[in-house]
Amino acid sequence: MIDDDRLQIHAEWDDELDAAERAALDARVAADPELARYREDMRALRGDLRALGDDVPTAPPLDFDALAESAPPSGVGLPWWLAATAAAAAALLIGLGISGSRDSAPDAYEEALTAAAPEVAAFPSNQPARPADPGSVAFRMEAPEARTVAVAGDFNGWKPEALTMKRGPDGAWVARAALPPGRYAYMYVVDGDWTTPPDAARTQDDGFGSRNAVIDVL
Amino acid sequence: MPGKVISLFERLKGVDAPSAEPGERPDAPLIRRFQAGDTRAFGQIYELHYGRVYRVALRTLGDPTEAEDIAQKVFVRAWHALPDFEIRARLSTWLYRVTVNACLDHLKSGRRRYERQPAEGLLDRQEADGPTPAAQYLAEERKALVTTAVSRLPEKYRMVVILRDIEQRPYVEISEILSLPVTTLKMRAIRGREMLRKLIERMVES
Repeated sequence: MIDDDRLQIHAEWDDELDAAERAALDARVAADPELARYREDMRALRGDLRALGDDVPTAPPLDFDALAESAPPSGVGLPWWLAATAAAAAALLIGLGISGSRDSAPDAYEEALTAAAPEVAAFPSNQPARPADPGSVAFRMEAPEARTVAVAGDFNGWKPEALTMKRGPDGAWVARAALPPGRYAYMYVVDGDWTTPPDAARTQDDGFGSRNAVIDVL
Repeated sequence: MPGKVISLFERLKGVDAPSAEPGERPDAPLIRRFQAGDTRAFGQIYELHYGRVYRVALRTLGDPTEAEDIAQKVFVRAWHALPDFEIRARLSTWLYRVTVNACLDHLKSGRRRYERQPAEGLLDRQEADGPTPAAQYLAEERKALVTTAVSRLPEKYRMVVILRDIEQRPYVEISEILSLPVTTLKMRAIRGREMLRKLIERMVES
């Protein structure tokens, strides 16, 4: 158990002491050689760690081609030069859960989802959706140690049991839902714990001290 | 544009200096321009944020090649996510969060390239230009020692030390990145620092 003096030294590290507190700490350190050594070590360590943060690596050239090849099937949100060619395939979703949800070709996830969640509409994959069709949203969550994962959102009454996720071939949890156009908020429920989707591009306060992910489906 | 790797000059030429609206985050204009279809703005975002993404990945994984791979994945993810990104949110926080999660997933996946060499770091790739002055040599030795010690911290302490003490992010932001309360983060920072102190002492003695 760390004592109060050492806690103060860490508060000093974090610049959380006012002048009076610092003076009081100085006095205690002056009277305690062991505490003085601890403070000296911590100050040295602080400098060492900050020095690691000074490293500025050179960014390798950005390969726009590789980025373009990884682009989602939807034309929405793409740069203009891709959006133009993809415009015919519009009316798809613009917001998805976790990365990789916008795959442009069928993959192992598709197979797993089709087999595991027949109640969920098949993802249109690389085929354009008809404007009248509801958008199909893929959710993906990396939680290798979880036993159960579900999606709860305003589209299913915040009921986790309404959209349970299945473990995909690579261990990630996946689910899909057919949603009509609109804006939706959701969270993942991992082993009963409500969890903000860690990679959500947009979140909002949920009113309970946490944050919901927000997606738009066109 | 497809078919070539765009150089920094090509990416930046003709790109007006972005200016943020009052109260906006500095990179908000770049995000807005990218959302409007200007891919050169993404190049600038990449230049601005690559360092922090790579540093966190390197300190977490201890391997430069794996760190570069993670950084590339993070920016591919950003390419897809930025069109929907909420301008009011802090991009650096989001990037840290994605980087941390990508690193942790990588560690859990067991797909390590090879057993990491913790002392290897940024400087190790740049020091082949002849003998270094003694002071610089000692500083680099110390840096390598601390880098190794950080890499030996248990994961939950390592992530807090990297974000708080190396990247110098405020606890409130780290709370958002790691989805942990500030009180937990402070205790982990203290515990991590104390473990580091002992690790370094032992390494120096040995």
